[in-house]
Amino acid sequence: MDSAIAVPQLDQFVLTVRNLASDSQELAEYLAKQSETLHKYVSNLDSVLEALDIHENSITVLTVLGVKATAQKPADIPGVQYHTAIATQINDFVTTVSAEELRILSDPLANVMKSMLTNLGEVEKPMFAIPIIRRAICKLQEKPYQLTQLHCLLCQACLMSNNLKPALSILDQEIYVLGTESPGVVFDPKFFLSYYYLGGVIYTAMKNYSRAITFFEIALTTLLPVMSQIMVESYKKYVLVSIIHLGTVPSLPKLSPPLIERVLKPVCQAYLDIIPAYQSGDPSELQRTITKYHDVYQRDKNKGLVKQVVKALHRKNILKLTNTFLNMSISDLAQRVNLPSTAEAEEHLIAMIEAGEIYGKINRKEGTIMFNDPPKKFDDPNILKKILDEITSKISFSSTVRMMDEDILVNPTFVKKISSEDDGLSIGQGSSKSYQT
Amino acid sequence: MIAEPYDFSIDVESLENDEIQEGGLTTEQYIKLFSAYLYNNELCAAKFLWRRVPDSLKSNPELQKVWSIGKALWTKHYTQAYELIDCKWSDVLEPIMVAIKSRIQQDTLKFISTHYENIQLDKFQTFMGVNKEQAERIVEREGWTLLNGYVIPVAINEPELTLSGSQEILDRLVTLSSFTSYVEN
Amino acid sequence: MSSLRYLNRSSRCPQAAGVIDPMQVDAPPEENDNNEEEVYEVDIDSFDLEAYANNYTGLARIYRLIYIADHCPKLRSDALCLAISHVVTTMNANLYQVLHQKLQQCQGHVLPDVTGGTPMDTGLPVFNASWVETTTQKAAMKLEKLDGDLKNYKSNSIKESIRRGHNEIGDHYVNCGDLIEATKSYSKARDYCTSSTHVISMCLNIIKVGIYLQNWSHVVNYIIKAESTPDFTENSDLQTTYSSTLKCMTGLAELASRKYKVAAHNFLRTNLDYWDSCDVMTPNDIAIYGGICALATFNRLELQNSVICNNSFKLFLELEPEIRDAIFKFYESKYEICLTILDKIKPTLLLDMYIGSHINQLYSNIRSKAMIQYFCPYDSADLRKMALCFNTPLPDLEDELMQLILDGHIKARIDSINKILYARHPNQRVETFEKAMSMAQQYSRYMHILVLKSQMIKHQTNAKVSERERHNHLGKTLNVDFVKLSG
Repeated sequence: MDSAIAVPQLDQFVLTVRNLASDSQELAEYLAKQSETLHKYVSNLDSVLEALDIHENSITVLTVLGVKATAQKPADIPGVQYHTAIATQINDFVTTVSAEELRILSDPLANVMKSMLTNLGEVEKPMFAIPIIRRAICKLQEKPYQLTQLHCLLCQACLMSNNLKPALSILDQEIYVLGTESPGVVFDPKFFLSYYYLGGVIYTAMKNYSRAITFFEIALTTLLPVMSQIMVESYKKYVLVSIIHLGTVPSLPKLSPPLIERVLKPVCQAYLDIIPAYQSGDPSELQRTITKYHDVYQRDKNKGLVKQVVKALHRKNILKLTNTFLNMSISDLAQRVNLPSTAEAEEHLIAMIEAGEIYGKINRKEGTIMFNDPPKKFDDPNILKKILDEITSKISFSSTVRMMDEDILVNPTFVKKISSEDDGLSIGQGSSKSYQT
Repeated sequence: MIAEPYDFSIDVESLENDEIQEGGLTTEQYIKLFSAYLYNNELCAAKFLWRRVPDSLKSNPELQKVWSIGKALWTKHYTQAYELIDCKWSDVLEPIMVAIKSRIQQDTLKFISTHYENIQLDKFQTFMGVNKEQAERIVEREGWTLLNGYVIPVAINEPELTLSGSQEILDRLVTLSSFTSYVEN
Repeated sequence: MSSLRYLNRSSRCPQAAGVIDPMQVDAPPEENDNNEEEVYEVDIDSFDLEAYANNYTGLARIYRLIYIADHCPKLRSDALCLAISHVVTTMNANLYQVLHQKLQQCQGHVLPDVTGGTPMDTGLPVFNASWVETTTQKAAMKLEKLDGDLKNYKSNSIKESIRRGHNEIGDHYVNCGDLIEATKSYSKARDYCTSSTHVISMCLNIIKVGIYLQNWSHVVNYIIKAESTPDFTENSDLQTTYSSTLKCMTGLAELASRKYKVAAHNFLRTNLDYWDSCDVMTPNDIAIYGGICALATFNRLELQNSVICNNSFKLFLELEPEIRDAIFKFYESKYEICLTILDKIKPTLLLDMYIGSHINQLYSNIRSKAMIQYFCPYDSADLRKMALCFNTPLPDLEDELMQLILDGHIKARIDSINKILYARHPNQRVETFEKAMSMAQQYSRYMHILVLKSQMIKHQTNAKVSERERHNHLGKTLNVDFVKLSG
């Protein structure tokens, strides 16, 4: 198989990496130096891949694949064909390489896959990436609650291909652990942030607002007090989705008012202003604010959500009425919430009843609606089952927490830190005791 | 419940998988997946499906029609949706459409029964997408009354969840109590 | 609210600047005055200005008249004339000028098309420049004399005389309207106080000036100072003599900062027998302030215990029979009569410089409370009857009730078709379940974020360690987070 390599430099390259396979440090240095050579002979790299054994030379194979994915496409091959071919090679790599190797390579793998996704997106075949990324995620994970570097790529691939359902099965799984336990691999916060932001976007698109809020909240608060653009964008969407879904913007656990004042106010004024406008319950007031910041919403691509905020205001006003009235005529209701016609009011009512937001009975003959308390009962087995489900999931969660706690307790850095602090403390105590005696 | 003439559950999953693996589907498969989404009332999924259908296939008249149904359902224009469903379909799609219609009718019927004190017959017809005779038949079948042009529905009761599955709950309660005692001690 | 600020404002307006010297009195910005002043105008048919003004003396009288002039167009020129006639008895040349200027504006406003009519014809006082001049001179001379006296006392170092000297200068400044200087002089007397009575009277002087300035934080500070004078807490004579006055002042300060309930409690503890007028308020005022504040904030029981059965306050209430009746009718659940009485006296109350700007708030409180109490014993109530009782059209009543229900004051729902208000009996079991569920959800959400945060920190630690970097706080943060987690 050696004879297949036509370029002597590549021949040399293959020989060297084979020899260096046992010394990862030196290999990494060598690979870094060879990047230029590899780029130069990019059209001949397939022969290199053939000459290398994935199990023995996983880093090299991945590097070569990365070069192929980033290098300029040869002019004579159609883009679709070329990039799907690379994607297939990457897929082969993922399926063949051992899980342990893959975990060590998770960072470069994420980079390679990112270029792959970009390329596939350019040739309008982003969907092709979904199964490959999904396979890689499964292989990287030891436990389903681990977040890998590829999670956010999957979200991106799904968004790019307008096919969100494949992401949902991954998103629905709560994440407790970042990355795997492989030594030397550090989990970059950017993977974490983009996963939760994109996940929030996907849930918003699928109208699962409560999950979306949770995702944006996590993206927004976890890294505080460090701020990043993605967190600001999360905040914007968080505000709008919260208004649409909850009618208010709940205070964030770690986001203190001064921080909002200092960091978010200059960049999110349009979103901070929409909150009081919405709370006022006055549609014209809200409309004024929206018109004022129209360009901002357009620029941030949040116009669709803002439109829904307007609809949500009517819903909020109707909800207010249901809390105070037992029944009322629909025309009266239309007038009270500033809707132009009873027909429109009835549409809103039906939509709200369907969504389970209110519970009522419409009387067409009299043109009235009767608001009832929802027949919520907490004594049927369904609820019991739901509660049990919750508890069971929390029990498993708590065992995860305990496990992580133990992990931290045996972490050498932590132990060192704690023991040195203890020393300091005991000296302090000792001295204070000596004063007392 | 009306007997379901068409079973979508396997379809959806295999079609979704096929699409991802193959990077696309045939027109027939797209139509099938789309109607399956409509049947399951997964309108968001349907919306995104339409977005990703290749432009070359979008001109297919049947696909167009299915999409229009989806649009009508999305905007809650039920009359329009019914009209579209009642069109002539190919032999493959005919049973699917019947299933979709009966699903929507079932849902609407239940909604009216619980959330309307009374409703004009003609309004009821539009909601259900049926003509007068059919509407009267439905009223009769459900045991509702028709008075002075108003339909007075009787609330359909959710089938009470009886103690079925209570064994499972009992088991889990035992697990829970053992966990609690473990935590406390 | 603050008449002094009106004065300042008028002195700042462009026409004034040319005619009159800038005011010497420069009120410090009021720290606790953060609520926007209500601008309103009162339309009143009969009001005996003369009698009203005669209840007060000195600056208090003039300020009250100015307040009326500012808020009641009908009485404006009368009030200003009366104020001018009082101001000439003092040495307050600035105020004299300001008042005249106001009067001029008001004349121009009231009689814009009286052509050829000289000011003499209107019978209004004419601006007397020579009076200003002589008064200013006289004031300066008097100050010089008082200063000389004080120096004399000081050289003799007779403490009591020095104290009096300072107080006299303070009084003189008040007479001239220079309140800042007055405060300074009064506080200088402090070092020469030889008894607790002196200390307290020093405080009272400053409090009084503080009230004129509407510098309420200052007022509160000196009230506390007076009340914590060593002998005040021990000597019951001293306490009986001064506590009523101090309570009144506290009430006034609390009223100004919109703490109506505290204000009411303070006013209610006043005793007519030991009450020193202090120029600022009359006993009638106390009845009004205390009564209205109590009505707006007390519940039924408090109303009975602290107002109706309060013998010392009864004496005050007797002075204002309308307020007394309103309170009693409210207590007897005759809300209609109560509200009618209150509506009747509303214009008069709006003209009061201390409670005027709070009246709308207080009245709406009283109204809401009446509604809440009205519905309290019922399971269902006819809205038509209720509307009759509260003298409101039905739709307005519905809106009012809606707000009360939304705010959680009334637990009920409205039957808008049959116009009946039904009490709502919440299902506590369901509520508790819901509360517990949402608590659990929120808690687990926070937990989740904490876990992720700890993970993040862990990875940062790893990064730091691999980079051979040490961060001092990392270990600590980890530790703290885990304490929280396991707690």
